[in-house]
Amino acid sequence: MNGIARWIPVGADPRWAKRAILLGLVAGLVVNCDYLFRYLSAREALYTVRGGVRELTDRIIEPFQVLLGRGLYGCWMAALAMVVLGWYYWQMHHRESKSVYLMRRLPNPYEYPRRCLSLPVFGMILFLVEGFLLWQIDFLIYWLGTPSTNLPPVSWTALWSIW
Amino acid sequence: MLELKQVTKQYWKKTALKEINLTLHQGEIVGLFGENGAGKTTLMKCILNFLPYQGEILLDGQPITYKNIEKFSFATCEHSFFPNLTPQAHKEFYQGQFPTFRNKRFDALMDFFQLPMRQMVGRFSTGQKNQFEVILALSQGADYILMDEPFAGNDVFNREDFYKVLLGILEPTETVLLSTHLLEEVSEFISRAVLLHQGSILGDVSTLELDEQGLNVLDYVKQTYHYQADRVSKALKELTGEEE
Repeated sequence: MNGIARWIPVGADPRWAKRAILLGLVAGLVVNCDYLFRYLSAREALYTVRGGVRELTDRIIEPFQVLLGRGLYGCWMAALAMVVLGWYYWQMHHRESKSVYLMRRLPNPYEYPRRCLSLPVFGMILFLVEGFLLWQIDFLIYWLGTPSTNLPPVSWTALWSIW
Repeated sequence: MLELKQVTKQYWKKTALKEINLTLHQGEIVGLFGENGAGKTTLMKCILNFLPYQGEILLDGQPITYKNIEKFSFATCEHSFFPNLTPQAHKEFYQGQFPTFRNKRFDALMDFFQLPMRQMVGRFSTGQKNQFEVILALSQGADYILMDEPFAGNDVFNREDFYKVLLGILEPTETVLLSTHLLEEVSEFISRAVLLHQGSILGDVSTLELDEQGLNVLDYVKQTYHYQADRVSKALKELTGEEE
């Protein structure tokens, strides 16, 4: 057994595992698009049209954390889904036959937990990193994309205020 | 040598095993008998460290840990194979995990029982699954082979074949602990009978001793359980007497 098959339960489909990770990444990106739509709408609302000319107003854009809203929820949900995956992989050893009786007899005591937990832990870390990176990118978009005169005061603290 | 000293297993309010003292010597084929719920499966699971227990279980003087667990193999009626894997894939997995895996024995047994090497085990019939489960246990290269009712669902011809093969292939260093209800069938080849009743050992005798007493295993079990041969006729008499 090579590749991903070594890190998942014996007999589990490695293609399914790869698809699950990819789905989690895509879900994180797709849900984050909500922030982009909200930001673009909010930025557009800073402008007005007078006599056919598009002019910037002195309106202040909504704070970053308000626009971000649930934009990172896709990543957090994908990370939480890894707990379910870990449980599913553990359950696989108790369904149809009790391969748990074999896994718990292996000379290598780490083989069983390794196969149940490796992919879920890797996935969780991956989605949390994705969430962190998207958070940074979203803030950069907000900071660099909004005219400085329309930013709320002390906007740098907005980066941390989502917590 | 496998030693069980004062092994007790408590499940909430029920005591599944009560201060079991038992020693298995190398090369023995031990039949473990008892009614449903006597504690046979619990005893095996405690030996394999699947369940916490009180007391001591030692293999050659050492507690059973990941360092010596490979000296045990386990065939269970619940099956411990991977249903999505073929026998060929199982062989490769076992080769990678157990350095003592016996390739020749595995191939010979698969051939003898005519099991397909490249079909997923999950698609085998119940009888085939039982056979494969036992093949894995016998081929692991373990010194102690624990079998928990491995023949449930197999026809009598299958079982007969298996007993003959078992006797033929076992080496003097291999010890078998076999739990089964098929007392009369296995009594021909076991060297020792241990009777479990409500978590306690009620009887422990070698078949040699029984031979000297002119008893067979079934007689011994009936004697030990104080089996009342006339209880059925008494009960029927009462029932038919009531109806009249």
